[in-house]
Amino acid sequence: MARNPELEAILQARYDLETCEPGQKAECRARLDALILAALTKAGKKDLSPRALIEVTAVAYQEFKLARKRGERARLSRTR
Amino acid sequence: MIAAEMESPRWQAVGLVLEQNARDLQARRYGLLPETVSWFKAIDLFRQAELERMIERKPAPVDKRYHKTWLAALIAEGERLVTEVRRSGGLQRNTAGIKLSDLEATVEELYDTHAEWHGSLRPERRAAIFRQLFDGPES
Repeated sequence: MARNPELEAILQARYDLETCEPGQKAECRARLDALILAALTKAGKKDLSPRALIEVTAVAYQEFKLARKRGERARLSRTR
Repeated sequence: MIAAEMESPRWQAVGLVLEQNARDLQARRYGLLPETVSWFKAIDLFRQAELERMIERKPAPVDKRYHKTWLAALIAEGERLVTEVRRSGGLQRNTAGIKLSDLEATVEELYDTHAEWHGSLRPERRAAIFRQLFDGPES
């Protein structure tokens, strides 16, 4: 679980982008880009590329994704 | 252990779908919209394999190799679709609401995935930048 609200929002936006319907991709991408830009600006790291931020948050994202998938499966098994 | 035993049916399925998609795209067999939909389906299949082989377990070198290979193929096919769709003035209206901008956003998503798994930053550099950005450890 992410500890920082900006990080949490970025991980959620990445997850939303990966799992949304194809017709919502551009909208989700715009939300993720805005959050990344805001985080880089707040940290005074405008020289860092958005893709470098993705690379830097890789481990946190994989943990986030695993937790979300497990949560979704647990919810599904409860409803069956 | 022989190589065939190390290969996951998940990765093999992704590869088969990608190969068929590439053949169809090259032959212009079904038209741009069906080919775009097939590409999105291949990404879904790839994400399932990624979850099972790379996230739910510690990936073996062979998993990382397949992940990188199929990801590169998806990016190449996506770039080719973007070029074709741009050249033809956009995608025809469709019930899924897929537009050229969605296609472009998905190619960018795949480049993000490449940076996530196959980026060039050393682990200590990653951790240092992470701390500067988010004031805490990576995990």
